[in-house]
Amino acid sequence: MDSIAFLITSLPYGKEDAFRGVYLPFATVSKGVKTFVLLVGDGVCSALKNQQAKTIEYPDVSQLIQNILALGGQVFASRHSCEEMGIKEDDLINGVISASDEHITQTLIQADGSIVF
Amino acid sequence: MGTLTILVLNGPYSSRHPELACEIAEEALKKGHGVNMIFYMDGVHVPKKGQVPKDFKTISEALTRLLEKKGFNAVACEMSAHARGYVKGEADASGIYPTDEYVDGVKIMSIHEFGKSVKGSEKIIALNV
Repeated sequence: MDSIAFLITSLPYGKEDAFRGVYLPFATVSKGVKTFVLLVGDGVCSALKNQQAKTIEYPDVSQLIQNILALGGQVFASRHSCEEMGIKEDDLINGVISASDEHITQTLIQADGSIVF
Repeated sequence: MGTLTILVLNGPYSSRHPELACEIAEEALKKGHGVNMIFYMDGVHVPKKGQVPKDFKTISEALTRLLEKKGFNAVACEMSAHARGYVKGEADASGIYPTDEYVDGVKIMSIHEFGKSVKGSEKIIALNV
């Protein structure tokens, strides 16, 4: 496969899902697989700036997202989901792109594979 | 024939996913495909030796049968396995971490194996919903 999309629908803390969901793309992007991380629903909270994960002794999900971006992965946050949660574009980690539902769907369709967390 | 990556994210018995993953792998192997099974999150409990469920099929036995077949490869994520107490030391030169708790043939390796597997596969199935 040349491309893969990870659809993250879970909140960043409280369950392991979002953390593991943004850890796997690190493995694919570093092997040269075109990697997309799509944050939808509760998943958009993973892209918030200034997360203080140390206070709960949990890995910082926002740091993993920054690592994915630094390696050339693309991270999209659903604009629609952000609006529902009162999250503004300025609240998102630099490099995370606010995207329409249409764009997110198109990315899912075009990727060779997809995994939901 | 191509290669299929199967990502197993749930532990045995609380979910049928590991059992279904083994069934899918067996059928794919019969048709001549290669199968890479990756255990991640609670999925790393699946290869544990000595499982004795009273009312369910023993998942590690199904896995052992697959490991005897050509074209089947099974890897557990080191980070997930470490967190759950399966890793018993540092990696060797091949990047394999030691454990005495898994059925023979399942390797504990870095999650980068998942990246390699995706790159070399035609399809991926993730059992996690």
